[in-house]
Amino acid sequence: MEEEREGAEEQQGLFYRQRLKAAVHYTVGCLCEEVASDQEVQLSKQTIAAISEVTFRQCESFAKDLEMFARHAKRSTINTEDVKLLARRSNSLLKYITEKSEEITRTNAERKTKKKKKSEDENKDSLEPAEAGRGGNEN
Amino acid sequence: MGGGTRAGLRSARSGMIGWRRMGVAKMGRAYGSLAGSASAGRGARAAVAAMEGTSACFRKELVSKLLHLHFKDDKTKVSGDALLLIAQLLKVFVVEATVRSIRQAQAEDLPCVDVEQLEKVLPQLLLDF
Repeated sequence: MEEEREGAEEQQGLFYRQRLKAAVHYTVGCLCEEVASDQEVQLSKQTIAAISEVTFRQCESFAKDLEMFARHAKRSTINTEDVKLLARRSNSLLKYITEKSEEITRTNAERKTKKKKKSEDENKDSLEPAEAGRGGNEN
Repeated sequence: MGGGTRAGLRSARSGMIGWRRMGVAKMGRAYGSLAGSASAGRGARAAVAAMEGTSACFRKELVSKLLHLHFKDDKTKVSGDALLLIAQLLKVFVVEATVRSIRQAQAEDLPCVDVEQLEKVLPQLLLDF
């Protein structure tokens, strides 16, 4: 009975992997099609499937490395520094990822100031109608 | 045959990521400014345009699920910004694989990119990542 349950669990795990692989394949397919149509070349289906498989396997390597980096820094949450360390093998890649990271922090900072400004404006708006109402009543 | 394999080695040796010169630069995307500054810098870099021209991307939940599948420790978590960065990294990976395969096929004068071209560029690609 134990073995049957373990077998079923393993099946579930495999199905889950298949679904993830399918999701990756879809995204990879979209990306490849865009690049290929831009370059005006034809990409065979087997090539897209192969790229998708390689990407899926590369994720395992990324995940393990990232977990090790975070653990090495005595953290349990992986952050952007770990990802930058992951991209160290090629100078241009590291530069690109660093730029993207700065862009993300910039977007976050902008969103924060926008949120702050919005809440300030809302406070102002909630005061004004009250005064206008009073002005109307006096008339 | 000899020329083809030699061409394979030549184009497989380059280690520059995302900085390849592409044909048409598609602008007007969220990262348009990045492409602008890149092309202002050096001609070879203008082809961050390949990245800028693509609107498809890896979704945050998909990346998160992919990572958690391989974590040894259950307590490991990933920050939101790190997820975005990893999604970018995966996108670069896929685009590089595609672009290098296309270059390989063009060097071999083939109209269609097949698995053989990918096999030739794969070693250098994996070394660069």
